Amino acid sequence: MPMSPRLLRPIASGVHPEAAAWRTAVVANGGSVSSTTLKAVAAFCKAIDEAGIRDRFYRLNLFAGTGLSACLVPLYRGQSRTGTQYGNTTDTNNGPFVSGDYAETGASGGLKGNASKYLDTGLAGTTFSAGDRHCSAYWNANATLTGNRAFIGNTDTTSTTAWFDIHSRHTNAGSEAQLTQNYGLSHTSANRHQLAQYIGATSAVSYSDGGDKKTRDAFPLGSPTASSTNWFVFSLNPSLFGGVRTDARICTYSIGLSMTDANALAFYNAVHAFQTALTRQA
Amino acid sequence: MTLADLTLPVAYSWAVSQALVFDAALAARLAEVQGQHGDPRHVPAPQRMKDGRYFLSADILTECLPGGLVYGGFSRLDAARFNDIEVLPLADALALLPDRLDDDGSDDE
Repeated sequence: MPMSPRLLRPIASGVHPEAAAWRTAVVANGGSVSSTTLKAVAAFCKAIDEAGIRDRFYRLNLFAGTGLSACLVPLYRGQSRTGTQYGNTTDTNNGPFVSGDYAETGASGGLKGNASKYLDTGLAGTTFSAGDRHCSAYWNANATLTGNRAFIGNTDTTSTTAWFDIHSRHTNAGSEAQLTQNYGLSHTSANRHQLAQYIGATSAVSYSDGGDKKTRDAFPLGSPTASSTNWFVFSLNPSLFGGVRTDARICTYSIGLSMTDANALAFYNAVHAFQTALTRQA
Repeated sequence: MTLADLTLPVAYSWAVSQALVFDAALAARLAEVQGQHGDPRHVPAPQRMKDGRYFLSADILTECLPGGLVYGGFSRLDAARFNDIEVLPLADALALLPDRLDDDGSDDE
């Protein structure tokens, strides 16, 4: 009697392929991934897929895994796992951050800045058109935030219209997206996540914790442009602004294309659920 | 206090609030050593202060011994020059950084 084809079928690993690929990359970089973390990363990937927003992300790092070497490995480096990959294989660690700056789980979970260290994604701002791009940052709200420090940013040294970042406002008073050098969209609550984006040549939107939508539809002092410099995390442009690097504890960042309101909320729900799964409760 | 006065390893809890301060010549030498022997994934990135000196966060010293992120470069530095590297509170060094974002009413409420 022939063996049932069902018995001959390989047992599925049950791990989301992007989570598995990330784990492989972490190990290659000298880190490791616990089963709990892998499960949480897989759940995040599944949520992003089910929301239909995977192609919105060109780069995303959940700052997870065991050890600093793990947390510097981004989960996403392109719009799909098998498509073009952008930026550095790992976030280049300038400072550098040391092992003591990173905690994967708990109330102090995330990568802790000190107003001096920063990450270089290697992802050029001109990868995107000026009117279709987003950046986001999720930070640990358990710690006091120093005001006017960049969580994530991209600008060059000459153009006032290329400035695009998310930074903290006055100490512990929310966050703000800087849109060119002249405009901003701010959220005054003690939030933990901001997503800022351009949805058109002169249209920008920002969300705080997936909601609190703010918009700007005119840039009379100059329309936004994309910068050829790289996107930095914990900094805006380290060669231009020495004193604006954040001392926040950042838990996740993303860079990519613009999203709808529903997309932004789905993304926040997924990333917040991930932080909860890692007991960061950020 | 200078770097020469310290005995490694140092505790992260102490080093995280300290800075290593040095002149431009040492900053250049650090960049040279990093380029030749350092791990390109982990880059000592001294910041220039208003007085022309440079600083690094002293917690880099927690990664300078074998197995550390910057051991490859640190092991090539001339220990005789550690007397030229001051150890100061990090807050003092940060206070001497040029350029800050100004929260000047660019909010768009």
